[in-house]
Amino acid sequence: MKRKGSVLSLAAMSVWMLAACTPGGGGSGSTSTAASANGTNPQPVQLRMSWWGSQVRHDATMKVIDLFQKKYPNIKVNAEYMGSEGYWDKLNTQVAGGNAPDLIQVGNNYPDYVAKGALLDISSYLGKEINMDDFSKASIDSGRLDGKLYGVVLGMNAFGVAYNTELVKKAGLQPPTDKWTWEEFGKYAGDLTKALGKGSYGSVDESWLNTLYLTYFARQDNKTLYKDGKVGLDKAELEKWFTMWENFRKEGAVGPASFSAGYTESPDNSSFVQGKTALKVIWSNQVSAYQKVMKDEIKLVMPPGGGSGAAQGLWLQPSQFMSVSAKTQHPKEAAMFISFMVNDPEATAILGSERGVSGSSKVRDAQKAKATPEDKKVFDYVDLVSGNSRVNDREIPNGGEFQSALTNLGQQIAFGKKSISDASQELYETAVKIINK
Amino acid sequence: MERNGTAVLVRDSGSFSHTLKKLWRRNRVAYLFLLPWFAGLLVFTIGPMMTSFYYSLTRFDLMTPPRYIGLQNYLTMFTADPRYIASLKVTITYVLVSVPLKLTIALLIAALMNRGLRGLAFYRTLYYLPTLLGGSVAIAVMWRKIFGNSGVLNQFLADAFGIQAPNWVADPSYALYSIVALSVWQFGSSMIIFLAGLKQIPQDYYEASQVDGARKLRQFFSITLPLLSPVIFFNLVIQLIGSFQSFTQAFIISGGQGGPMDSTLFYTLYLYMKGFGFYEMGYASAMAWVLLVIIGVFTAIIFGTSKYWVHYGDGGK
Repeated sequence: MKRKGSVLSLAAMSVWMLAACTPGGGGSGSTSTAASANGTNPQPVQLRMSWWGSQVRHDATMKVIDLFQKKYPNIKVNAEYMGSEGYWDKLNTQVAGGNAPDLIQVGNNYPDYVAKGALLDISSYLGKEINMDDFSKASIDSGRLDGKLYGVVLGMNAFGVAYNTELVKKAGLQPPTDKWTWEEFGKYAGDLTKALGKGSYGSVDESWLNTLYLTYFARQDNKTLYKDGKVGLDKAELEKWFTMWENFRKEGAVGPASFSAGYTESPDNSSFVQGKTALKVIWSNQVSAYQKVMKDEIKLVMPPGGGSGAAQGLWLQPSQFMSVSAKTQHPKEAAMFISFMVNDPEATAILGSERGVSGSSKVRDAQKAKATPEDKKVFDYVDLVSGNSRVNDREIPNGGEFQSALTNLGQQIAFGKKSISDASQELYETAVKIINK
Repeated sequence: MERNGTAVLVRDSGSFSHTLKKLWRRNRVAYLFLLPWFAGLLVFTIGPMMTSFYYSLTRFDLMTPPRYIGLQNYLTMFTADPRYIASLKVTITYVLVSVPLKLTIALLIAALMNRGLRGLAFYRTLYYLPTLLGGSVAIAVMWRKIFGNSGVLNQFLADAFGIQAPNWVADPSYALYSIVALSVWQFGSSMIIFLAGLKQIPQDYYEASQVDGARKLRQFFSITLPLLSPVIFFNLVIQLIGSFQSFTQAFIISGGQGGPMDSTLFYTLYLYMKGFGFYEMGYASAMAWVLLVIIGVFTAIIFGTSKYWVHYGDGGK
């Protein structure tokens, strides 16, 4: 009996596999009839689309794909989705092998892919297949490079300092406000440490965690990490950054190196999530992800300002872009999908602000009207930042390598194994080397 | 066709093809059965190895075509990459500490279990379990929790002895050794092999030596160790090669960074970072080839010294 069953299922499987192998197999017959009934008679088209994200994002995006396929029965979109870990490895391999997906979700690292000829210039579809009429110019331009459009922005983010409202209350302090300087930040975090007692610290040690936070700091001095193909800051700026955090360590505003190095500060291994620190820099679209794993309520304020005379460091950060592969056979259909994804009322309602706040004023208004309290925090914060920001700078190419060096050298300083001067020099040289690669 | 060639060639190729034909006739079933593995070896092992050797001579970012740069990658490695040297040091320290420790513990436990333990099968399984689980991500995550800041171990030390212990995983002087501990904990597979080896040693030797008045310790060093030396040799080689290639534990425990301060930057971890993180596949390929040579050298040293300490029962024939 058992054997018969397995033979049957084997046969069924091979039939299914054969069917799957046939190009345009399955429903293609019925779609072409439906299409010819419309009188347009479009050819059946298959697209592949890849993105990274959490299960929430996968579910929402799959629903949008279903909607799109219902509206355009001749176009089938095959989804290739995964967590963020390993996404770039896989994409790089696909691009190298010449079988990249037609639709690719990229981040602010997209210039890396443009440099390697992997992405299509979609300017010619703008205003035709791709409708971005309700998008702000800045948000459209965020996908441009050298005048060409390589991606449509999927959302806008800004980072802020998240604080644990319960710990602040426990410490008997007033919540932080949006107007604070680095000095006030250090003092506030130090007070938190004192009030919270042994084993807890006011803030996460951010000195080596995030390239972009360093960039934010440099922008207040009208410098930046990467500008016009060169390193946009000097060794002194890096020294200033590291010295500031070293002082925070001495004052007890942040934990000692042996405490901080134990956490990668991703949500699954974070001192902030575990309630051992009360302040941490996060992205606005991460509020719900952090809130989901924490029982204490968190709120966002703007990161410390540079004091009087300093430039505005904050910017609105495009979270991700939807791009089209340079090798695609169906650029027009791919463009149609992108437009659907960022404009269609039903689709954007499903996607929400999980990829960041939409660049389209129309979509934003519709979403705000139905926002949950957590969503509302995100919308309010992004609104606040859009009034307190300056246009963003390009990210340093091969950013992963810079981040790795920043982590290593930042830790060497914290553990007292390298002087701030030596480490800054080495980090600066790394940046130069990476850019000239 | 053959007749057109010179006389010598005809005779030679004739006899050669004759031999081939004979071989084929006699073994064709075997060859047919072996064919899939030969094909696999060619396609999945030899092919990629040759490709990687070519890449090691190029600058290759995975997306644009590789550019030939000769031995530049190999030069950079030893002259201009401090993190590479750091990773080499980490890995060699790890191998030199973890392999002897692991084998010693495996041998001791195996010797204990060989003394007519009741429920042997149960204990054997129990000690083997970590080996099965050890490579997994879940165990590495658990390790981080045990050895972390407020981990189980430190809680225990604080509660039981009032000791304020360091954060093992986060402290650069201990982080590597917490991974060594994880590796030593997985002594099961070596232990099973030792146990099998111990069972092979004839009891007569022990009885005879007992008559001559040898104590347990003397027996262990004069009978057990020499007769077990081929098994020790085997385990040593296997563990050495495996340890050089360790990756998962360091990747998970350090969050993929090899930190803190590159103290757990294993060779393979840095190779992975270079290849997939920093888009230097040519450099990563060169690193892989150097690792092959390093493992080869270490293995050769063990083989070279084996004639002084490995004793085969049949006199090594």
